[in-house]
Amino acid sequence: MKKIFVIAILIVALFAFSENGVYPDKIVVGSFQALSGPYAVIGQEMTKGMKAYFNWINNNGGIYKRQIELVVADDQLNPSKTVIEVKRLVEEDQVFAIVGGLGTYGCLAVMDYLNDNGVPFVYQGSGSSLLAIPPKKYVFPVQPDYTLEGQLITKFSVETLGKSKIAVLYMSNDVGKEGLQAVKTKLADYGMKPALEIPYNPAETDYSSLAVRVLGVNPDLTVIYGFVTDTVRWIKTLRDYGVECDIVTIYPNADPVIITLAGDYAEGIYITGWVPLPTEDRPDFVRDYQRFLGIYQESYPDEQVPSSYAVAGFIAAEVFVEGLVRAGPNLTREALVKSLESFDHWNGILSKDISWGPNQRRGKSSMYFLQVQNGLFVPVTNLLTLEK
Amino acid sequence: MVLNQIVLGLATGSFYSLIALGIVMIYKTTGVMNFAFGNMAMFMAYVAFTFTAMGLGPAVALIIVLPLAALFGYAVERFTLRPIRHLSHASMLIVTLGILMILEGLVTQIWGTRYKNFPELIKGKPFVFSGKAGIVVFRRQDVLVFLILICISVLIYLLIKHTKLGIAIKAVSENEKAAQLMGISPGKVFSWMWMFGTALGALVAVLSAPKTYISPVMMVFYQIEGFTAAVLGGFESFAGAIVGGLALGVIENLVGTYISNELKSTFSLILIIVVLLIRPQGLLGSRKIRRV
Repeated sequence: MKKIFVIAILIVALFAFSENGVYPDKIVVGSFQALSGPYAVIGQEMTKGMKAYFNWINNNGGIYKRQIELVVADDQLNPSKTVIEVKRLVEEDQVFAIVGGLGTYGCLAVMDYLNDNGVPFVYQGSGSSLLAIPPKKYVFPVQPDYTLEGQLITKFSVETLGKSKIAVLYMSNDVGKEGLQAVKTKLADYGMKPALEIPYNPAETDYSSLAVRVLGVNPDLTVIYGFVTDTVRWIKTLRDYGVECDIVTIYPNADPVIITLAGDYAEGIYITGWVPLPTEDRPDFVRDYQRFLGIYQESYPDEQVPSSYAVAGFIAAEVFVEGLVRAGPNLTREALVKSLESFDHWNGILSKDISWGPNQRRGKSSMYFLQVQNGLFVPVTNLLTLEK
Repeated sequence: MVLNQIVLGLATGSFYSLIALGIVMIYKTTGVMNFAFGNMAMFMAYVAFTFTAMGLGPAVALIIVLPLAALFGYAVERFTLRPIRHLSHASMLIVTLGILMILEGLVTQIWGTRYKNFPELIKGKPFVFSGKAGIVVFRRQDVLVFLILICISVLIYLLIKHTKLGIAIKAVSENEKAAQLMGISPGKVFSWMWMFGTALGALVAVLSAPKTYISPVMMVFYQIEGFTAAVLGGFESFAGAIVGGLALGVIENLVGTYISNELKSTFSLILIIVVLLIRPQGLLGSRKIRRV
């Protein structure tokens, strides 16, 4: 009787002091993605990237003999659903951490809740600077934020390309407005301001009437803060109207689909990038990409060219797993935070140059620029930072 | 500048008019607001993409898809809506919402999650006109859409005024029971209108695909604008749908240029409310007078 009592107390103590979502044989991790609805095209791809990496880890023995179990909640990219789903993941499914949530508004909607409840939130499918600034103990952004990107775009346009008459076409939402503000701030450092600012609705299907205004100003460089389809619409419209200036656009567009959709119109446009490109002059990146492809195709053998969203999901999983490894076998949320804060220009397979530290949450502080040349992305700069 | 914006607005408005026409066709006779209208069109755009992926030209793909779309419309009306027609309009609305969601999920399962490209029916450099009023650029495809709108408008006029089907459409939309007593089969009229309407939606989806690219959300914007155009012109008037679409295209451009581009979409929604408050029957609709 006494033995049973002691064992019972030990079991209760074990559960009382063990970390949520951490079991002897598995770690339960949550994510929120648009698995259905109109944005499933993004969410399903990002989920595949995460699953591919976690499957590979699990097939190779897991992390300290623990398998990673990924629970993906479908929020349809609707922030009101995100809040409900994330609370369910944390309070009912008792996940250890949230990894790779998709969508700016959803991520921002749950950011404070997760931070206040001490749930690590690693990698967000969003470039909002609000995730990184001010730093939040449990929130670890990886993707470059639009403020950093906007300032780097301006630096590249003015210092490298020597442009001075810059137009900014931006989605009239948080992404576009943050980008515009960043460009304006950096231009002010050069004693300049945008020659033209045009907000637009990304759902609109025709930008002809707005292109007339661009033509009227005749800028020598145009920055487009848009996502794939509206960016392609803009590029085609501007070129049809005879606007021949250089065009720079943002990293969500660094996907092969933009070349497929825009065709010859894409020639010469500059795009920011933060994921290394496997080009002939970088055999190390080619090797990394082949390794990624091998891991990815173990789960999805029919996919020859994974999308950039799948790449994002892969990086989310890769960064998180490195954090788990560094946290050691006695896994707690505090140990994970500490281990993630030890990242110092860390390079994984596709994750490159990731740094965090106490009170430092901007995971990426460097980006480079690509140009579309003969239907291919070609890097035209090394990694740039605001300091250099 | 004003002339520019009016001309460009007419080009954009042509798409809105065609969508509004499709919505009105279905609503006028069956009284059903088809929320799945845009997604049915989107589905047919994916079908057209499949034909082009098999090596057929875009025009051929369109010609094949139009009758398929009509069959699709027929099937939806005949097998999902007509059996529950006696229940309530609300139940039919819910069915259209269900179809909307089913199609949204289905396309990603069948065609994957990547955006699809669709070629323009007419290729070639756009027409550029420059003068004192500024520069106006017409893409050939936009000119084609405007011409199609004119042709369809004329065809609808001839159909309504000079054919038995046209008379049946008018009779059923006026009074379904009286029409039935006169020997007209409302079921057949419903089927024809769903076939025409769905084919029209598919036409817009395929013609706009080179701009919107084929994805589950490709018709969301057009459906909203089409509804707005239909409200503006009059939900029960074919002429109203055409005028409403063109007017909306022009008004939006003028608002975007002279007031604020950010307010364009908001303006469309405000316009619906204002029209419903001041003239519920729309610009060209006629007020129904009922005996007590």
